[in-house]
Amino acid sequence: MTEKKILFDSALKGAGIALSKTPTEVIEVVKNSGLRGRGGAGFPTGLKWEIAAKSQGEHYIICNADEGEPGTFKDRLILSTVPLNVIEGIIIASHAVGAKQAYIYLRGEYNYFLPKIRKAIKKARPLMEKIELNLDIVVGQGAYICGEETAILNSIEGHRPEPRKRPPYPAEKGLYGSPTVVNNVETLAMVPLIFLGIFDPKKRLCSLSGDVEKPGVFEILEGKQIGKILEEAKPIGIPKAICFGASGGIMPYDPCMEITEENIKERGCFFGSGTIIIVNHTHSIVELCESIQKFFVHESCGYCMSCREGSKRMLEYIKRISAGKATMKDLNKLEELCNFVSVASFCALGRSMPLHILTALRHFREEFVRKCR
Amino acid sequence: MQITIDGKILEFHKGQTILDIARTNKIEIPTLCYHKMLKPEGRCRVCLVEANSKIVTACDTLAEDNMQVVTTSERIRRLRLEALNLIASTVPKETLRKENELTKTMRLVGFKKPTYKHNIVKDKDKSSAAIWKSMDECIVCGRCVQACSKMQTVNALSYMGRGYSTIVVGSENQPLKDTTCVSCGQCSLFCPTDAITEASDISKVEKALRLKSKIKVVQVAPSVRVSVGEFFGLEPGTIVTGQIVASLKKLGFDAVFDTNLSADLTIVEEAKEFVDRFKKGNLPMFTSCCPAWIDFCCEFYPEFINKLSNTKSPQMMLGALIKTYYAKRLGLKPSDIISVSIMPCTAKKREAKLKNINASNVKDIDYVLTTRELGQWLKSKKINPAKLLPAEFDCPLGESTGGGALFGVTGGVMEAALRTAYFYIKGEEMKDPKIEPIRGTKSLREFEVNIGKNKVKGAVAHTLERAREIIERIKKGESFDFVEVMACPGGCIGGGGQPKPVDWEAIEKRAKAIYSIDENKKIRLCHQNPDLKRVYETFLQKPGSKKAKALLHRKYPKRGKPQQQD
Repeated sequence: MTEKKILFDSALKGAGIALSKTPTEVIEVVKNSGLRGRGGAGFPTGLKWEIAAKSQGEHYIICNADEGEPGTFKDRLILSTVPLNVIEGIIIASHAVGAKQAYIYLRGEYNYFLPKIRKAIKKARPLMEKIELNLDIVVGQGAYICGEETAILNSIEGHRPEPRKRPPYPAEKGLYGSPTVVNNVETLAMVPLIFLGIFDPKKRLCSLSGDVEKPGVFEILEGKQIGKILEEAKPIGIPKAICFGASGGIMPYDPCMEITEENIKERGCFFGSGTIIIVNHTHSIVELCESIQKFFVHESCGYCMSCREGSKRMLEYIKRISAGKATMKDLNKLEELCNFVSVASFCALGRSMPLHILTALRHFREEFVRKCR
Repeated sequence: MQITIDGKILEFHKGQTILDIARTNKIEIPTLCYHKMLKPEGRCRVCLVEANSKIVTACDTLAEDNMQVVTTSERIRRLRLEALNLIASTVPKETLRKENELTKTMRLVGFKKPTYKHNIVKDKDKSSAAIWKSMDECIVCGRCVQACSKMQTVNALSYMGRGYSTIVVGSENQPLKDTTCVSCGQCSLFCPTDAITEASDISKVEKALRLKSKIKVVQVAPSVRVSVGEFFGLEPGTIVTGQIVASLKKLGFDAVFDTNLSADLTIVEEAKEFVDRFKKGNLPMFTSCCPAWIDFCCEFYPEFINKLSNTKSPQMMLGALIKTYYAKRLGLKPSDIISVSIMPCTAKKREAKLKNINASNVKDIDYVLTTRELGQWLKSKKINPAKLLPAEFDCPLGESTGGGALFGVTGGVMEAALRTAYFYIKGEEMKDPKIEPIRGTKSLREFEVNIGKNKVKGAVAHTLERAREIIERIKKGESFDFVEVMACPGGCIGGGGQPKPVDWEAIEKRAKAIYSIDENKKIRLCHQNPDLKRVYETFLQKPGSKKAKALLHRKYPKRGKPQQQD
């Protein structure tokens, strides 16, 4: 896989401009830029900062580098090519909300980036000293749930990584009960570009993998046809479906579909963290669901009953379907269970867990029915 | 602010959850992991309701102005059934046949039987002398962990594993006996199934009762008489003292003695110790009748061990008298007597097994049963105390005063001890034995009492979170003379061995009953107990005598929990 530099290297210039402005001005600029969170939920970044800045107490900035979604690797590319952009983003965010302490929560498996990140921090030190910011790196222990913005707080505080009840949102009451901004790596890397005047909210990074010859990170413009992107990546075999990561759902491949949030949402899926996994004609959707479900069974944190027990029972159903031992009644029960888990779970992870099965049942129901007795 | 629940427009104030509002307006929402005395965690997902057409849990969702809530609809009913289906399949079938909070919720929702296969979890921990844990019956509701870490700040329980293999273990996956566990048993009290229970001794006691060559003696703690009736359909706080005596006789005990008497004895000795220390220094003095608190202090605050009163607890004092004084009167060896106690407490089980706690050359207390075990045992023998004629406690250890009765409730030890200390300092009796500022349900109460020219500054704490608070304040320089600590909420009436499910209203009713026992006693001052006077005249000589010190006082370790006998 190639790791080409696709993002512009700001080289501390963006942060330099931002620090010459007042915090309120910085927030205003970010709000007007149209930047939205790139971690999944897509919350307007400037608004998040504004809420945090207005909340009382010590402020914290957390860079969420716990990229654990299967098929997502854009943050890895950013950290390996332009880590300084991320540090700059953290500095600008700290300046905007008045934080004196920031953390990078790094996925455990990415610990080989530590020297690179430390080097970038060293380069940015003069700017950090200017706003009296202390930046620490926390290395995660490998739980998928830590990518959830409240579980990350528990993890940094040294507790069991379990999600917290929202509201209150971290921006109001986060780390140690203080207002905390949790931003994704890509989001923060975009911030300096805003101040350089080269940020385009319509462009975003996308991790493309699966049955393609050239998987990798692509910068895509909103509205680009999926077929056009695939021309670059060179598909293997006949593409059948697109899977948007473990929690993004599955939909039929349509080369003419333009990639926009709305188009994907219309098909019941969720673009969230910008993941596209191409699935070709040789794969069974049932097997795909089984392997995704195995992932969720392994990664459910166990806090709420619905995700804890539901994930296990869902896998039992799928295994039975996959083995050809299930009846149509089982299939209906699976669908009912999925509907339960998708509304009854405690956190966003639990609620998005059944999405792959629900969308697969919507678009590829016959594959399931064929396997049922 | 206003909220609409099932078409009813209701007023509420900020900070109330949907469940709070529903409960105050008598709208039924089934719950399982929710408990009024704990913080809602929203783990079980049973209390689902529709709020502004979104599915939320009622227990932890704050109400908003003009919120539209639906608690009963076909969709909600189906979701709740699915939730219970998932939960019920995690426990063995036997648990679903028993009467517990899980089956109660199942009935409420109308759930019959799980459709999923139960996977057995083989994780049992019987290492502790007080508490047994069996994870197969656990539904991971999180109450025990919260009670242990938040209410008691002991942190002996934690979670291990993730996803469906999440279980509750002793902290750092150690057997419970090797953790900081102080045996208070609140985890077992809050458990909605029977995953955590007391270490059961019923079968051992039954076996011991069959031994013809032994004299079988039993004692009953102050707070058991106001709670055991709940097993037989009586209101919390119904006083069934005489009925318990009668039913214990029916079970086959030769003599039934009253722990209230040794509570009086504890006061006589403890008040003497307090007066001595008040004159000489080494204050504050902490009460020592709660074994969970003793464990807590030794484990977490060893620097305060010398501040603990060294009088034994009422249970061990009566145990000592039974195996020395009583044995001598009957001309028996201590080993000829089997001594059982009925306690509201799991920590008492461990206390009876400690090293260096016995006055005789054998165990002073052979077996300890909790209130729950007594209830269970009586039910299995089809004995209903409510239907028995009351009987009297046996001579020579059956008479008690109002002061002794107060041991069952938070602040009671303090009140009784101050009544007697007043007598020791001033040489005259208190005119009104009721000391109002000590009473109440606040978890930390501070007060000042004038005894002649002396001012006694005291504090009463229940739950170990509050005990920790008071110690931290003392460490920062505040001074107190006398501090009472009870590990359980409300004192022994909320003890870890009391009837389940626990709730605060029941605890308050039991407290009222305890105070009424005190008020209705002719003698309310511990040192006036006629039976005790006889014990001192013929056996112990006087409070604080050499013999009393040897039999009724104990030593503590330098640090760490007192050790058990093997």
